[in-house]
Amino acid sequence: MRKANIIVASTLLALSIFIIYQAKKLPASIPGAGLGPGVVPFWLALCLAFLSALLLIINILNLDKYASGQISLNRQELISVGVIFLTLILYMIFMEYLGFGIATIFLVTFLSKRLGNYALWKCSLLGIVVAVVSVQVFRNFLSMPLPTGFLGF
Amino acid sequence: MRKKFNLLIGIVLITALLFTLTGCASKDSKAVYPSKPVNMIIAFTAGGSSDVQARVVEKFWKKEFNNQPLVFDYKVGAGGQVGFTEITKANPDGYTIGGINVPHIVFQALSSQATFKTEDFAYIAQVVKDPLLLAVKKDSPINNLNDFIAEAKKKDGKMNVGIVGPFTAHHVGIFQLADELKIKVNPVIFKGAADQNVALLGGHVDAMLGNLNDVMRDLNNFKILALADDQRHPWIKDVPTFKEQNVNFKADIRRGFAAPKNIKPEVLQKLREGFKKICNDPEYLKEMEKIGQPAAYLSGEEFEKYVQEYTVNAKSVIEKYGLK
Amino acid sequence: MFETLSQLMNGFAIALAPQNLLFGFIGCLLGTLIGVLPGIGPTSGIAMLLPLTTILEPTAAIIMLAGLYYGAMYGGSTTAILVNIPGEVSSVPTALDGYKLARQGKAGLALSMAAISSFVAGTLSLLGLTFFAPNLAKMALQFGPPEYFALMVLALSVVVNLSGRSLLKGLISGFVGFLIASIGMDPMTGVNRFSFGNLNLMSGIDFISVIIGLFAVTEILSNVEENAVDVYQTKLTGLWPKLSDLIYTLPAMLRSTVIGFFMGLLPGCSPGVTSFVAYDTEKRISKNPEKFGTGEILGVVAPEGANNATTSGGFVPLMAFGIPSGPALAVLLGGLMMYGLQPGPTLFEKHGDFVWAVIASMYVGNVILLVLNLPLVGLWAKLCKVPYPILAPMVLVFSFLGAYSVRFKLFDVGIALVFGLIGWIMKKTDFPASPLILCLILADMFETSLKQSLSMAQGNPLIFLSRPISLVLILIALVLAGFSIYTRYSDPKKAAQMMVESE
Repeated sequence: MRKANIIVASTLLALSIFIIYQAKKLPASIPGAGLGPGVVPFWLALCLAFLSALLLIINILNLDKYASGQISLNRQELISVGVIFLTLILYMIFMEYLGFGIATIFLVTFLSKRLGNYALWKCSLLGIVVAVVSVQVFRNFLSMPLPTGFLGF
Repeated sequence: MRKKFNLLIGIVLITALLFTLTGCASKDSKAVYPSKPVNMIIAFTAGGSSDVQARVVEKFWKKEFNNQPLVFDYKVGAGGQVGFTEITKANPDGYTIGGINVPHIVFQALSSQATFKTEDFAYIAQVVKDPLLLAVKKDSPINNLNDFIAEAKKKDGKMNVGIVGPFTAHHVGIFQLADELKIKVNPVIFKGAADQNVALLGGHVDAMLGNLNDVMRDLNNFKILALADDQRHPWIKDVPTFKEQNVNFKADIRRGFAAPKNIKPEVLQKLREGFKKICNDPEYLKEMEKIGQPAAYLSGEEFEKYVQEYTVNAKSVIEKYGLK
Repeated sequence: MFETLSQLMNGFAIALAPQNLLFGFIGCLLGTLIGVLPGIGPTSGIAMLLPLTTILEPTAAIIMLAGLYYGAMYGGSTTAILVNIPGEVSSVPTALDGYKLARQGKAGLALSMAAISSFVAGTLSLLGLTFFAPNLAKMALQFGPPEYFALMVLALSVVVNLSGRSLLKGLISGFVGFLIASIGMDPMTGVNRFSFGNLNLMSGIDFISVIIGLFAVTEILSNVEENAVDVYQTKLTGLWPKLSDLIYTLPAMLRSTVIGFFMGLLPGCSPGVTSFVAYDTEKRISKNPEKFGTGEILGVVAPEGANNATTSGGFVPLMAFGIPSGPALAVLLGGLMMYGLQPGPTLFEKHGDFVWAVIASMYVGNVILLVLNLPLVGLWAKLCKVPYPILAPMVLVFSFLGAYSVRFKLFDVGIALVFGLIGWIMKKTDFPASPLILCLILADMFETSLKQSLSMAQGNPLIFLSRPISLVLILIALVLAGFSIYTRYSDPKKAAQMMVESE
């Protein structure tokens, strides 16, 4: 946990310094608008920088009494999370080019297969049902402009 | 239990009905435009003034355009900039048009973060001209423009005037008005007409530079000092214009429709003619009065000319007041 | 009073006409469904159904849309309790305790208490709407920018209480939320911040995608390993609340009704804010604050009651001045305008029948929702039994649809994904998510009202202390925050207990 805290705190510290730098670059106020656009983000980022520096120091000096525990993270979980996350990114890309319906069939089939390891026909049936129902309800009934792709589904 | 069952049947029937309704796209006849539904981009939220106006147009659209429906597409964000940009970048086949607002598009096109130019639009028609007005609360001691000037002088620049901003007709207008009246006021920017009106009614600002459309909702609670237009408006006949009081101040917000610039001339012509017919339909004018938006038709050419003139004007104003 | 009553009776006569009743029912049903679907909130729900107003007659249409709005508040709690994924922003605090209850096999109890609390609060605040609307609306006008700023400060003092083990991490999470909100166009100067010329970033990051990411996607990512899946094997107990449960929770329902209704009168106070405040209030006055976060039924009752009370409260400024108090009501206002019904005092005079029919339909709608939701409790609770590998992909698809429904852009889906990963890291490193959400919701009004106030006072910050309402609110906020910090550090034993159990 201590190591994780240090990593997160340093990332946040770097991020807030970047924001402070960006906020300083924002134009000064325009007539009639009071505070300029950069003022509030500047102070917020300054506070965030202070707090994350504090977290960093506490953990480097090992003063954080709550940081004693071990983070539950193993290689296998990391891989599973990575696979799911990549799947979701692919889902987004598929949605844009193949259309929402087809992408959904793929996603639901793949996820239920991976998480539950059912027979493939069951998984694909679930995928088709979810895709058809959501397309019917959202695209056709609520006329939501879901991406159609070249097959129009 | 039985009743609930009946209700259930009712819902199933209605759902079925709706499915069939949405499924029934009309048959297309190839050659004539439009042969399929036309997309309408709205740059503000569903239910906002721009949307409500476009929905009125929708009621008359099918009659003029081959019985094809309009499909609404809301592209909201950054004060309309997202939607306006979306219109300029759309396929110029005539199947995507959108609602535009002046002076929003002019200021956004002049801004350092511009994502389009005013020349990127093919202007179809202007449909609404909503004049600005100076208003105070009903029980305010200020009764007319002279009182307002006196009060502003007394407060020496500390008089708070609510505007909708920034980079809007109101924002630029308040500086111009203060110059014309030779007074100093302190503008307070609100995000929308709703917040602005509440702040005035609650007495948190002394006056506001608002729109006719917004005060129409609740005329009883406002006292309107002057209207920023050439003539008095029929809805508020007893409110004098600035001009009548020898103040040279005219400002308004306009709504219109546009397509991407590379649209085929004959399609643009068709759109312009269709809108002209819609806008002169007495039924349409009645609907517009019901929604409280002052209808004012201008043809596409006239609207384009107006935008060009306004742009020239706006450039000098922006420089003058340092609004960059 | 008597006149009001007779008008209300007339309203009931119209609202109970078969056609209006049917559309009221459809509205409630759709609202419940929209509430259940993560991310798809009342705003996009109403917006999507708005075109129907061109074919329906006004009374039926507005009854349906209003039903959809408060129906969504009923439905939002369902997924929050069952799968720790709030269906609406206003159900984020519900998930804190509701999900723990579900894990203990008490999903039925949590769901039915959420419905009952919604009903009680909804009906009571309707009485407020019916009898005191004009006076209350005048009261709300007392709130100008400085008062709103003070109110935001008060709401922010809740963050201290929402931070689990480490106050430091809670505060960091809150500041990150604030900074996320500052991406996009600054409403007061029109300048784009941190958008790097990207048109999508210019329109800002919508909190709906963030919530979907932090809750729905994170939940799925955290459960990819088998160990979390056996949660759903817990036996269901106690589907229905006992009388003692009702007596125990009734005071909390009343308190959250008051909080939700009065805050709901103020334009800009969305149900998302009031439910946090109500949750915090219950935690503060409770004798056993350490139980909150571990499956305390009051932690479900309070936010659910408050968010329903807020929906009724929001109708007061809408009907009195034509001022929508939130995005959902703004869309509804558009619906009214399409019929040429200009809200405001004249609405009562010119279209009295219509107004009273809509108000009466809300009473009816609350009954419909209770009747609709209680039998569903058993069904929903069984949802826990649906194997996780089947439930998870469906939840994901609907979450993505929710993110997409905000602006119909895949960008928002992408944001949800990114925040899913961030949320997973936060969960692993023990950063609480609710301060981030709360600050993200409040940030816009916080900054806008701060700037407006300073602009009103020519830059003098004393304006916040020179106006009585804002002074009082700021003092309360300071006292509350100070008190929470004091108990956190002065009573280490209790604090330690709290930290262990609020895991």
